[in-house]
Amino acid sequence: MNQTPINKSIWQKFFILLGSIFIFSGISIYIYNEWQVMNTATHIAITFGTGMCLLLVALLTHNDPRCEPILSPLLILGTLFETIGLFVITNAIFYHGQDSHVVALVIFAALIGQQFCIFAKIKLSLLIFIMSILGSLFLIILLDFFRFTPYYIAIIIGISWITWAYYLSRTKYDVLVSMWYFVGAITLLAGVYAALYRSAFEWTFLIFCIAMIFLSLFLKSRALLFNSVSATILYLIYFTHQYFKLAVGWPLLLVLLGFVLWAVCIMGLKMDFLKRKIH
Amino acid sequence: MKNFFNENKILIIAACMPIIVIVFLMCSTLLPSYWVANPKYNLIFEKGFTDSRNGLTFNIVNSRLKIEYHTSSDNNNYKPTLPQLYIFDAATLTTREIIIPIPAVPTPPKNVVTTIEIKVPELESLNIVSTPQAPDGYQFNSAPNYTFLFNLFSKKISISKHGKYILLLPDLKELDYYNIKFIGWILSEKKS
Repeated sequence: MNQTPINKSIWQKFFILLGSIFIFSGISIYIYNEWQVMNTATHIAITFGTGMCLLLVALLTHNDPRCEPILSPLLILGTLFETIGLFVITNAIFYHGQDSHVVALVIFAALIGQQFCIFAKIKLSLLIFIMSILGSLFLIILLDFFRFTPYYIAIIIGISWITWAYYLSRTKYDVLVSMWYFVGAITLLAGVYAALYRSAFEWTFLIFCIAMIFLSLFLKSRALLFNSVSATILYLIYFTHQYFKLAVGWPLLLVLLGFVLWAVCIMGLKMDFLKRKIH
Repeated sequence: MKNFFNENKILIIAACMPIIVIVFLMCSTLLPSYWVANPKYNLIFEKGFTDSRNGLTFNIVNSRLKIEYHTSSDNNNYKPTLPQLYIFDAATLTTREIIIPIPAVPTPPKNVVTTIEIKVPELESLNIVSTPQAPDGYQFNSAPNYTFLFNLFSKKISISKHGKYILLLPDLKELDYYNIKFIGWILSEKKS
């Protein structure tokens, strides 16, 4: 039976993904089970050592076409274990009660630098993804260091993810743009809602959701549109439940407002059509 | 071999990055211990839960440590775990516990708290200040405010000055960390 290249590729990806999950689970379960009986050196070897080995294998074999399919899992697992390992080393040897933010910032800055260096040589979208995750963690820790409240952190992170997604959409590394728009919108909306919750300006969240819908159309992002529309509908339900539970006028007003907006849109389209006809 | 290094310079830098972090952390931890002098003043602190109705309290009154034992008939079956008092010795950089003799006190009547002052000869003549920073610049690092990063590292109680950290209780259990309370720096022994 002849196999098409597409089928081969799917099977290949499937086995590599499954293999990566098993390797990750195996190492993690072993670490979890044996952690208490291991000494500090073994803690470091099993986390940092594993991470460095996986990463070195990835870097040494990146040119070999036979190893190309396993390059991504090697990079992901290598970075993950290396990050955990660095924290284990710091905690075991260098940490004596310093501000944990500073230590974590140094570690993440170095890891971002490392991924950036790898990206300079190996142009993979995956490295952009890893850098984005590490960069986000760096930013969250930095904001937490300056004692920002969690909802302000969420707002800033949400805005940065949406901006980052917009920037990525204009490059050739746009594979995960929708995901960044999606998580960015959720984080931003959650942050704004938390900031406005039970305040005198809580109702402005509706205006914010409407602005987000406009932004999603401007950025041409379905993920952003889905989240903004969902947030608008959910907030309207919440708002009605809170203030207009048994009122008939409120739903009627909403329906009327909807028709007015449709009418405005159709009139706008008509005017646009007329303008084009005149010219 | 030379070609390999030339072609993969950037990847070699990437692979060395974690080692650079470790060296940086090592330097930032070890170097201050060479140029920052050891502490000059002893430190006194307590571990455990203080209760002003059933238990011990430690207070600084007129630069002197006042230890009081309180007992009440709130709950006769309730035997509180008494807090422990520790002294950090700056000369040996070690911490030792000071045993406080608990007097036998008859159970007081209902809604009455009996308070007895306990004298510990070793602590009687000490001149103690409760400022968080000692005159030599060392400061006590207590439990920081909770942030999401807080649980990332082990809980350690230390004193520090310009990047030099000295652990007070290296084998501290995580639960005890929240019940560590700074009492004061021992400046000198009182003359009278």
